[in-house]
Amino acid sequence: MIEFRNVTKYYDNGVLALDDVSFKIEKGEFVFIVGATGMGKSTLLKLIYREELPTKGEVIVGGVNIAKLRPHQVALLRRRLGVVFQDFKLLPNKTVYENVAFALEVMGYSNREIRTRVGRVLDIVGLLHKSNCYPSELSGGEQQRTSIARALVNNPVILIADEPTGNLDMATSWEIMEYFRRINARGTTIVMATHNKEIVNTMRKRVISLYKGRIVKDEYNGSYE
Amino acid sequence: MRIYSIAFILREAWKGLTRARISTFAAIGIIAFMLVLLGLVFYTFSIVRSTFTGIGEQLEIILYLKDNLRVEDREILKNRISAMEGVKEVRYVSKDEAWKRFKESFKGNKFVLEIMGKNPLPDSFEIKVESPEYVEILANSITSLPGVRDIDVPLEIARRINNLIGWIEFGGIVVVGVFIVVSLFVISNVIRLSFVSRIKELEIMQLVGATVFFIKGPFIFEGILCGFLGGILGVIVFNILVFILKKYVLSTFPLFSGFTSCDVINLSLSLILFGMVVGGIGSVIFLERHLKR
Repeated sequence: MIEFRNVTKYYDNGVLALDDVSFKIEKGEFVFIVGATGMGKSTLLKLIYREELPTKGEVIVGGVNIAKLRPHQVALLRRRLGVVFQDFKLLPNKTVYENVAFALEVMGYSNREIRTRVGRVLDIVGLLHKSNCYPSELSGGEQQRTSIARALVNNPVILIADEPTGNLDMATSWEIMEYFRRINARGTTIVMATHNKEIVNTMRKRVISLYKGRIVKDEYNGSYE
Repeated sequence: MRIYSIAFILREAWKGLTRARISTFAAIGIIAFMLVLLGLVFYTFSIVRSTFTGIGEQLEIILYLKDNLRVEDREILKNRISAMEGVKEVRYVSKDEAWKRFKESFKGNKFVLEIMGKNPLPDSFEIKVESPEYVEILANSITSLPGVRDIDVPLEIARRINNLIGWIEFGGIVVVGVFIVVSLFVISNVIRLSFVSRIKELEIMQLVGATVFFIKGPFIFEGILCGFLGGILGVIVFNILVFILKKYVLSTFPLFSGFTSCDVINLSLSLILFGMVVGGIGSVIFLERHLKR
């Protein structure tokens, strides 16, 4: 599903973010990317949804080399991915419903289809009753659930999450993880960057540890020390 | 292209515009202001220019014909002159008519008329030119024609007016050019800045897999719409100002009243079009800066 082959990434300012990274993630896996801030977690995720391109090596997502995609194909790739961020990235002037619907609108879906799909996905994250609220009227957990709904609304094969619990308290974080567990159980591959030790150690999933841009550990049923 | 796509772009552009953000209104206001300035500058120059051209058009070359010229030869000469470039009108004035006019203008002055005695005036052509720049060229080519006894050319005035028009045109092109560049800069930047609060929107659109068409469409359309509304507002203000100018200022100067002409309708349409184009350019600049490949 996702494969990194000797990927090295330098940013334009000369910073080395990833150093000869190779790994493979199969369909349906749940993988944590761990490491302290600045160790390359976000860069690794950005390469998957092609926000960045590798300086050296190859990144293969869904069988295609992301470096060879044209702008139009990049858009198509992203429709098969769902991305969730620490800061939610919701549009403040759109309601919960509109924020989720937005993702389908830009793909040119019909209004009827949008209504059904958004309703279904808001039901999954338990936010149907808050459809008409604006992000500012929601709690952090509810905002994150909205952004998860937006990530899921197009039935992505991969869900990418960059510190999704970074802004949330522990109880809410667990709530979010429960949604992730269920999403993963339906067959969606999940790649999540985090430095929340408790979550990683409790979930007992595959853990890839980064230190200064290199993979220092990659274990199934792993933990985060 | 599916109908939902077009609908989405129009809807998003409209939402963006009507979200009552101050920046949008400010942008429209500034666009209107720039277009009014541009319009007034253009208007002023074209009025000044048309005034002097108008004065120049009043200039006449008077061509005195040899006596005993046959009627056929006279007609041939008239046709030849009429066919020359820059000639607006050739009028034949017979010596009798000229004498009548002369007597008319010296009606009260018996002395002059007595001295003149019999009619000493020759037949002549009064030649009107299309614009003062032709006066000198025509004078040169007409003098040598057969049957011409003498010509009377307002050469000095024609030269001065030509000179003046030349300077006015040059100044007009420079000043209008500068204003066009300045408004281009201001309007495109105003549009760009009015979008800055929506960089996040741009980012999210890219993230959820919107194609370039979907991302750019609403922004460009909104930029054009903004330019259009600014243009409409500007043109309304501009026309009111022109109306006031015509009614209360220009009409008090007799010099201007006769010849002032400026195609205000075309100028207005051009201003609106300019607003729309530059609004679109502003959007494109914004997108180029903030849209990652």
